[in-house]
This record gives sequence, structure tokens and C-alpha cells, in this order.
Amino acid sequence: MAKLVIIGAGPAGMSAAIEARRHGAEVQVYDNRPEPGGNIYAALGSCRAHRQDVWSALGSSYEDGGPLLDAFLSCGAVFRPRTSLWHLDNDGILALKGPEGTRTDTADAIILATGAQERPMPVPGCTLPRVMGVGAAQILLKTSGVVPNGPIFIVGSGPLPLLYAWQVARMGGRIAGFVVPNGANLRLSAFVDIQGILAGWGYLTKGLAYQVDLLRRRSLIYRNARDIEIIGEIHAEYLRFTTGKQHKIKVGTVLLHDGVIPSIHPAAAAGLPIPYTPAQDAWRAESAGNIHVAGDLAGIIGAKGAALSGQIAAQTALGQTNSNASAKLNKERAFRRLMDAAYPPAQLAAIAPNTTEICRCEMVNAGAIRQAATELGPDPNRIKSTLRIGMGPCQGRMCAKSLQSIVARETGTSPDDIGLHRLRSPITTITLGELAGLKE
Amino acid sequence: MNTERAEICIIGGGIQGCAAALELARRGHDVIVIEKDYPGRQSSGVNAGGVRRLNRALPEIPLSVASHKIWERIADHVGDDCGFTKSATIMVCETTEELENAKARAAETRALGYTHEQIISDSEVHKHLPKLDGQVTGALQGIGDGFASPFRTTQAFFRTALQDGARFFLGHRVEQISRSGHWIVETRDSRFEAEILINCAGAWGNQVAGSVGDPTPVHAEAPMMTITAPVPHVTDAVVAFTGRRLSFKQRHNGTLLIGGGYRGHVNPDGYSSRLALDKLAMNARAVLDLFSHLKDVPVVRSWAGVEGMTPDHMPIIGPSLNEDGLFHAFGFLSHGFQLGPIVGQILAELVETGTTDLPIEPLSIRRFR
Repeated sequence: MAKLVIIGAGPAGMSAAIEARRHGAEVQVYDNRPEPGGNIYAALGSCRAHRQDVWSALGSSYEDGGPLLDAFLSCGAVFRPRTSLWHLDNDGILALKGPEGTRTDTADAIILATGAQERPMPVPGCTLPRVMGVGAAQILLKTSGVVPNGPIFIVGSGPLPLLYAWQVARMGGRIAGFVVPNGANLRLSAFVDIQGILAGWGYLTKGLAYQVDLLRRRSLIYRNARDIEIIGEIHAEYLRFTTGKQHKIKVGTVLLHDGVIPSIHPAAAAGLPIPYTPAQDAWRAESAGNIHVAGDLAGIIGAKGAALSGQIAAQTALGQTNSNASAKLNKERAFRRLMDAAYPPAQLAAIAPNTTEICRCEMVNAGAIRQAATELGPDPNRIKSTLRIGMGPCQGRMCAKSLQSIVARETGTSPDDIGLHRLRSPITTITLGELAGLKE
Repeated sequence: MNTERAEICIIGGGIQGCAAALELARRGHDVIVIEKDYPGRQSSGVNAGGVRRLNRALPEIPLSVASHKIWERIADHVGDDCGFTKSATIMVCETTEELENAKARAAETRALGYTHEQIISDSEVHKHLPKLDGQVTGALQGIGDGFASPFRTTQAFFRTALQDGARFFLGHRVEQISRSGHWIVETRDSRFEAEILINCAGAWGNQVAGSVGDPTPVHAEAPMMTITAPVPHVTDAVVAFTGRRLSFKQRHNGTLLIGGGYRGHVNPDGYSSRLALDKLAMNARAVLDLFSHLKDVPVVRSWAGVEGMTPDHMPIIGPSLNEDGLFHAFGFLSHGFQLGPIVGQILAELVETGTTDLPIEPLSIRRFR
């Protein structure tokens, strides 16, 4: 019986596990969270069972994950929660840490379904307490039913902030205002893509409802904002920006969002190809050897598309012929193309003031990166070795994308030609004791 | 195809190649360096940074001592202090037998006229390692040794060589070497011609040497290092253990840099490497055997870098036996960083006069004939 290891129990990982079990494979699924679901369906099982208030506030985009979760839990795959992958070799050796300690595992095939993360939005003051990503705030809502202190201001745009604002309203909260950075406005011109509109009709009607709801609740909306800055002594207190005139607004919490990008770090550390996709302004991972990629990791596609992609990855990994999932996946892709065109990322990193901290671990600011790029050229590895950017505990998860944007702009190089810096293990932190206790 | 001509062509832009380029450029020579990536990309940039004369093989001591004199004024030499910090450098003994051997070693180097090694007592060792679990008997200490920042150092040699007129061709991987009177070195889209060729190609030094009729038994190894998150004071010393495979130091920012000669895997491409997790775990166990309070310290990064190793663990330095106008300096595994400054000087002297005052005969390629 073929042994398949799946990293990540979001829609792609769960769906891959279900499909692989259907073909009789032995399946192990690892995820660093306590429950399956990934980001989109985070804590779905316990929320459904114990938090009726949150469950009903989150709406259908969350409820939709229920049948998938149930199918996963009963498919016969072994699920190992709270388990992190800290090393993956291109020869297929995985090293994990979890409640059972630190150990290695091997498999006939591996599916990486590590999902997506928010594109870091480095604006001055973004490292202050009471500033977080919209996605992070939404996970807080799903896992703990928590809405942060108001007044809440969202800096950014896109489908996720709209959905989150609607969910917060259903929890009895309110988003006080939206600050849309210059360049990140919804592009109505994208809606000439009839194929995309047809493919995503359901999503679009929902999005429109969220938008109407926002207007009804009189959230303030500032468009074409420039020089965005978060100000505060020990935590965020004010949001400052210009829209033709100066604004300085008192805030309780600032939530940032500039779209999502694939969580490529484990794939990159394993040496998989990491091509850059201009339309999504992001790197994605491609399968190689017996390591297969699925879901948002292979290019942002959304929950339904991720589940289809997981199913296909399992079929490919087990040498089965692909089912009709491919046709359905193409429909999801058509809608994603529309969304990519409608919500271009603001890419604030490229224009971040020199004093803005880009690498939090090693405290490297945008000015230092610009200077290094000018002196050393657009090679991220040379810049890394010189400035130590990306060498801290997060291994560049928070700065690699920003580094690429800054270097591209500064040197006039296409982002395509600026690769990702070399990644080192451990890709998630382990302690010396955990390393010493490694069981083979 | 682009052709560049020079008097001297150096293959390899690591610390040896950059130091040789600097020395030759300063003496007014027309020198070019061909580097497959960028200076310090491989071992020169990712080694442990030890600036150590302590416990060198006897034939290396004169070179190491001479190099140390350059390290003492490194900022004048390359315009940057390279992060060179003096720090007690100790080889800790845990048994009486180990201490007796260390004493014999110290006596031996004293008898040869060197004064940089001494024995320190167990209580002095505990002062350097206040949190050490268990007993020690003493240590062999290198007086005046320390450590520097390897990437920064290699960059400093590179920058200074560049300022002094050396020409660098980065991102040029040598594909073929031939000779027709002068040396002809070809990369994918360039051709370089020179009277004199210097092989500073590190782990790939044997590929260069072999292609010009000087094959050696050098093979590639990938020593591994681990660095932790910052921790409260563990030591002010650069520490190695006589009877265990463990060495470490604590850097200025509190992070611990841990090694001990554990080797990863060199990939079949010969250029990249992978970690050997079992060995890495052994390295962590070696730390915790003696410093159990460090068990919850996060590991930030582990890595392996490719280096060339000779059977006797000493580098190959000196002229070719077959060809005029060809010099080698490679195969430095774990020993090369501190020697870099003097190797540059030795190579410059060899080029100019055919000889050097330092005793390099024991390091000659002749020993592998």
C-alpha cells in the first residue's frame, strides 16, 4: 500500500486525503493547528459544536467547509494535529515536531498543501501592538469568537476585508472605516471578463451583498490614500494618511490587508521550483519528483479550487488518472483571474519610506535594502548575507516578498528575475532539546 | 566571445583568492579573479569565523602565526575590522589523560619557540563556562586568538582588492583550462588569458588542479553549523572539547554558534549540500550533555557549506610540480579562514620571486604524489 504524507489540513490537504483514501493509500496528514480546516475553515469543528453565536455570524463561506471536514474525519486518514514540519529534504525526508516529540518520516509521495498567508504590508508603524492582518483577525474570530478593540480601521481592500467586515457586523461589532491605498482600488475595468463573471457569479453576488451591508452601516471609506502611517507610543493610536488632504484618525485597532500569497517556505526549502506569477504578484510552488503541491500553494485559487486541486494532486501522486476535477478547477481559475485583475495588490513595500522596518527579526529597514541593492545588484542572497535580512527565526516569511518588491523597483529589475533567497532549516522553530531528541 | 587579458588569473573569489588578488594588486600586478558566484558564497562566507592559532597541525603553525600578525592590524589591511574580536579560545579537557596530552602539546609548541598556547586550570575553565554541568581538568588556551565575521571579512578583502585595481568577474564558472604559452581559462561566454594561474577554487580546487595535470586526493565535505536564538551569558570564550565533537561560541548578540565537525551531505551536483539530520541531532545532544539548561533554546538556523578536504587535513599551498606559472592554494577544510591573509601574501611572494620565507614545503602538492 502506497504511503502518502500530506502537510496541511486545509481544503486542499483534506480533499487530497479523502481522494487518496478512496484509492486505498495509507495517509498521514500533519498540521500545526489543533484542528483540521486550515485558515479558511479554522476551528470549524469546535465552532460548529460549541460556539453557535460565532458559527451563525461567520456565514455560508465558513459553513461550506462542514461536509469536507466531516468527510475528512471519517476517511481513514491519520490526522496528526499540532505537528509542524521543520525540515523537508529534496530526497523526501520529512522532519516533524509535535506532541509525540521530534521525529523523521518518509513517504512514497508527499503532498504539500501549506496554503496561503497575507502579503506583508510594511507601512510605518506596522510592527506596533494593535496592528495585525485582516486574515489574522478573522482567524481570531473563528478560533476564539474575538473581535478586536474598536474603533477598527482596515487598511487595504479585496474580498477578505469585505467578508470580515460583514462577519464582524454579525457579531455586533463594526468596522469604523476603510483606508484604501492608492493603486488598490477595485478596478471595475476587470469586469469585462465575462467568462470570469459567469464562473464566479455566486461569489460576486455575495461580495455585492457585503459591499451594500458596509455602506448601510456607514463605514467611512477613504480611497487613493497615500503616505499611510500608523502612529503610537506603545501601541497603535492614530492612523495618518493623505487623500488630497491630511487625515489623522484615532484608532483602537488597525487591520492591514494586501491580498494573500502562497506560503511557499516549506516548498522552497525542499528545493521545489518557485516561479513568480506576475498576475498575482507572488511566488508559487510547483511539484517535482515525488513532492506534489496543492491548493493555494500552487497559486492562489480559493477554498473550492484548493479542494479540487488537492483531489487532483492525490490522483497524480498515486498514479491515478485525473477525474473531471480539472474542468471544475478551470472554472475556479477563471474567476480567480477576474479577482486578480479586480483587486491589484497595492505593493506598499516598493514605496515604503526608508525608515520602515521590513525584516522584523533582524531589524532591517527599507533604506538599508535600497542601498544594498544599489551596491550589490539585485541578488537576494548577497543582500541577505550582507544585511542578515531573512536570517532570523521567521526565515524570511515576513520579508522575502517585500525584499523582492523593493529590489525590483530600486534596480529596475523585473520581479521575475529576482529569486527567493536560499532558505535554511528549521523552517519552523525547534529547540535544541527537540533537535537532540530526534527519533529516526 | 569576450576575451580578457591579464598578467595573473586567480580562479576562486573566496578569502584565499581575494587575499591573493589584494596582495598582488597592491604590488602593482595586473590581476583578474574568476568567481562562479560572488565572493564568500561558499565556505569563506559561512564558516565558523574562528581566528585561531590554537591546536594547529605543526606544519601550519608558522603560517598561522604570521597570519595572526595581519589579523592584529586587519582594519589597516582591508579598511574594516571584519568583526575581529579577541576572546579566550580553549580546548577543554575533561580527564587527566586529556590534560596530560594538552600539557605535552603546549610543551612541544613552546620548545619550537611559539608562545601562543598555554594550559589553564579547571577553575579558570569554569570561569569561562560558568553553566557547565560536570567536571573538567583544565584546558589548552590560545592566547590572543578570537573570531571574526566570515562573510564580512571576505567582502572586505574583495572590496579592497577591487579598489586596489584587481578585476573581478563574478558569476563566471570555469569550464575549461588550457595552455598555449599563456594560460587560457574559458567560462560560458568569456575567455581569459594570463601568464600566471592561481588555483584558489576551494572545494573545486581539485577539478582545476586535475585539469592541468596535478590531480590530488581532495574530496568535498559539507561541515554543518547551527545557530540559536540569543540566550543569556553562556561563555566569553571560543570553546572546543578535546574528547567530544563539540565546539561553540557566543556571538555579541547572544546567539550561540554551534559546530563540532559533523558533516552533512554534498549533493551530486558537487556545489550544494544537504543537512544530515541524525548528525545534527548528535551535535545538539553534545551541547545538552554539558549544558542541560540550554534545552529550550530555539534553533534559528542550521546549514552546511561545501569545502575541500585532503587526507591529512592540511591544505595544499605552493607551486605546481608540472607547470610553470601555476600555483595552488586549496583544500583548507576548517582551517582556511584564519590563514587567508597570509596565504595571499605567500602567493604574491611566490609569483614575484618563486619562493617565500615561510616554510610551505610540508604543504606542497608533492606529498600526494
